Amino acid sequence: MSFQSFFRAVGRVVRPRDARIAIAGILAIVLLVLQTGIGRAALQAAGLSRPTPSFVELYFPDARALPSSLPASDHLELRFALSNVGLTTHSFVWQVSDNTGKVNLRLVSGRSAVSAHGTDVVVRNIRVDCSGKRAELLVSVERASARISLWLACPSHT
Amino acid sequence: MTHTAWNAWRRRLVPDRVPATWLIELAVLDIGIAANSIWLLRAVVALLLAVLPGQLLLRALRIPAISVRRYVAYLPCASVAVLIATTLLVDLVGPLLNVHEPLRRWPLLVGLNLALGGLSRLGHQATSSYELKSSDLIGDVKWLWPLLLPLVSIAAAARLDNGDGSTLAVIVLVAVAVMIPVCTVLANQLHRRQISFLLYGSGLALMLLTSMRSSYVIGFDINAEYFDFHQTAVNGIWHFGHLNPYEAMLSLTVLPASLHGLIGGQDVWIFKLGYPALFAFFPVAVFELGTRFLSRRAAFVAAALVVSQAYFFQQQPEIARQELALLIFAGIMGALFDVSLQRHAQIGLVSVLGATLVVCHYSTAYITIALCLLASGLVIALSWGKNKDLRIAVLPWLIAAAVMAASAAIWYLPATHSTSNITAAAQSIRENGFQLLPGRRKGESIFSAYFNGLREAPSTPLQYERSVSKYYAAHMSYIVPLSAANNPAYNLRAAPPLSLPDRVPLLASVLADAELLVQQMINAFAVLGAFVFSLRRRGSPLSRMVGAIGLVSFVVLAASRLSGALATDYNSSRLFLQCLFVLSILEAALFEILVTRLKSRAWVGPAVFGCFSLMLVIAFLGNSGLAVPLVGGNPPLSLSNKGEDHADIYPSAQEKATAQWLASAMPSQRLIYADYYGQLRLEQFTDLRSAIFIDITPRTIDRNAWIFASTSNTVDHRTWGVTSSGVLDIDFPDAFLDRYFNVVYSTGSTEVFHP
Repeated sequence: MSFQSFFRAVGRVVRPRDARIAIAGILAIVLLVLQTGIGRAALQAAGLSRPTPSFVELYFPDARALPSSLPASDHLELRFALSNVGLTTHSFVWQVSDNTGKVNLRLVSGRSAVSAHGTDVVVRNIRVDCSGKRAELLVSVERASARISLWLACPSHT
Repeated sequence: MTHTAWNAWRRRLVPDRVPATWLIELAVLDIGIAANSIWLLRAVVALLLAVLPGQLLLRALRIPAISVRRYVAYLPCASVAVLIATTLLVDLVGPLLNVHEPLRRWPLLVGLNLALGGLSRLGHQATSSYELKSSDLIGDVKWLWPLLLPLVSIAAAARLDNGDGSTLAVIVLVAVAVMIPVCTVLANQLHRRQISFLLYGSGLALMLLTSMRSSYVIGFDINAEYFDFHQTAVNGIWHFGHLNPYEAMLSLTVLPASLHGLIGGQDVWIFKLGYPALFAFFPVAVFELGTRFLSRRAAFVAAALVVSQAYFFQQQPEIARQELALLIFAGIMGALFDVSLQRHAQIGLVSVLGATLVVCHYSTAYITIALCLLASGLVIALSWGKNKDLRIAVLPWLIAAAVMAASAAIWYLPATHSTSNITAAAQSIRENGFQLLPGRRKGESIFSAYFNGLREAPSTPLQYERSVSKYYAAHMSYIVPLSAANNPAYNLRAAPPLSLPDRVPLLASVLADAELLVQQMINAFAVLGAFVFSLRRRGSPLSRMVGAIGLVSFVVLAASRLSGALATDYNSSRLFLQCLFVLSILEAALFEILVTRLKSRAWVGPAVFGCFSLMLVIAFLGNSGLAVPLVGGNPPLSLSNKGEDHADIYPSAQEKATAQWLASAMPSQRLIYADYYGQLRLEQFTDLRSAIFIDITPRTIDRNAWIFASTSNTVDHRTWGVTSSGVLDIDFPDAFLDRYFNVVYSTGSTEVFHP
């Protein structure tokens, strides 16, 4: 059977319902293609698929039992966690600063590479110069607006 | 098995006179469910689940195919009834057969096959006049183009979420605004199926503009609804017992869990896409019911009236249980007004749908029972002593009411013990009475008080803070605020409004006035129509029954407006939409009478209905917020990433992460603060329900509290205070919280405070 006669035979069978079959066929092909990588890329390019959210969660893992005052030694073991909500490994530059006065004083800083959906717990022993009633420690992440803070009563006022 | 035995078995199951298309469809459904990770098969399964169970149930009940073609809403209603009943049976029987999580794909598939096989057996004696072909429901392929509109809406919502602007959303709204008058003029030349597709496509497109925003559910009630659905889906089983009303509604538990199990994908899509797709049959049902009494044009106008209401396309997609219940209500009304049905078929269908309604939504069921009883009483009184031909058969109505009342008594009491809402309402009425016109002032007339409703001077943020702190001090002595909270520096202040600035104030004012006038005229015409049709001597008994239902709908609506107790217990706008199902038809019928009286002039029909459709367009402009980008005002969520709606109800991934962290980090003995809208995130994403306080004011925050700060709180620095005169926009008390609480968690756009 030649190609011509084959297509003619198919045409004869399909013709009575050609419009419905054509529409159903096109829809089926579109849906199948959309689920492939090419289809997803096309949806994304057209702004029709929501990108996976990507952000950092910054928190104190022991939030229930945070210290309320600074030890007499003025040294404190500070624990905080960085969780990477995203699909790729991300490197976060963080810093801990004393936010008590008018000037934000950097106490310690570092970098944490966190895998996708991973968490890195940072533990640092820091010395806080606590001369007033209270000191506020601020943990922040560079190029992200996430920041957490901890108020501590100074040893002389406890 | 020999060939003869096989043939005998096949004939018993599928008699020769009934084509076995359902077997092919069932096979496709099974394959689709088995491989439901493929989007194409998911779409096929969703379509077949909406059609096939209903097809078989309607045949088993001996509902003629022609009746279904003329009132398509029977089909999704019947499918919902079958799916709910089947899933409930699977849920109950599964554990007896050592299937501990019966609401999973395979047990549900087995149950569905058995149920559909059983229904087919019940219907196997039915003649071909009861055999509905799927192709009959489509008609001409060219008529399907309105179904592209919902696809455009989905794309519009995704683009708006990605910050790509609202052009597509505006196109959808303009298309619907144009469709209303054009279709009104052309309605009598269009095929009824064509009009049904137009109404379905435009109604669904409007709903999806709101429901498809965000990756999570959007709205107020739907947050708690989704939580119960999600829990059922996660647990894979639903139990009887002492349940709260949401847990007891199968429309929020068993049915969506079943749909999720069978169709696959993320469960949230069932509420965001599936339920609106079912509820979009509501205006189609109005149209098809209307065509039984009216011209196609008048029936279209009645349906367009429903489509143009914000209650329909903005509010309903946020209340999943009522979306489904109103669809079933439409099915019940359609069956009760259907003269093409045999009495036993009518009673069978009404009974099945009545029982389904009871397990879908309590308030809609109560209102439907009341409407059936009151309308029956009214027509009995009106036709007392009349000619037998003029008497109206109220038996099906009374049976419907009896079935629903009995089902409600069983389901709400011994089965689920979930009458807390009705007992609370009864207690409120017992304690405070019906509170007739609670806003009425001394010496004020009843009419003035009725139209003014509940009025109170708006509180200021400081008045609100003092009032709630006084209440907390009197009733919640365990809450101990910090002494610094009384520092006047931390007094609450009003937040600036989020509305777009008025660009054309004069036009905005004219539009607002026109919209108000039109909406009031629409209400007035509806009431007039109800009186005319229930009391007039001419007309068929059936049209008088429609009038009676309309009149009692109006009475129920008026009662909810007159009584403070009823208004508090049930949102009158939701009641309005249920009553509008019949009132919109009566309103169109009123215009039809006018046109018939003036029929000597050919232009009268298009002119009268054209004017009315333009009124609907004006109402639609206001309700949809389409004019906001031009004239200013508060932009709706469907058109913008700014405005009140976005700040209130749009959940973000950061809010989900924050809520879930909070739930995992807190001790069991705790006090949580999340504002009026912030609590919705906790409801949707966590099981935190108790000891949540919504008043984030320095004087009410306990010194050991955990405070959930949403994106609106953190980024826009605004919160809300609920008062008897409304919800106040207030500056979030960052200064106080930053000074006296630690920020223990942050994503940058959300925070958790704790000392």
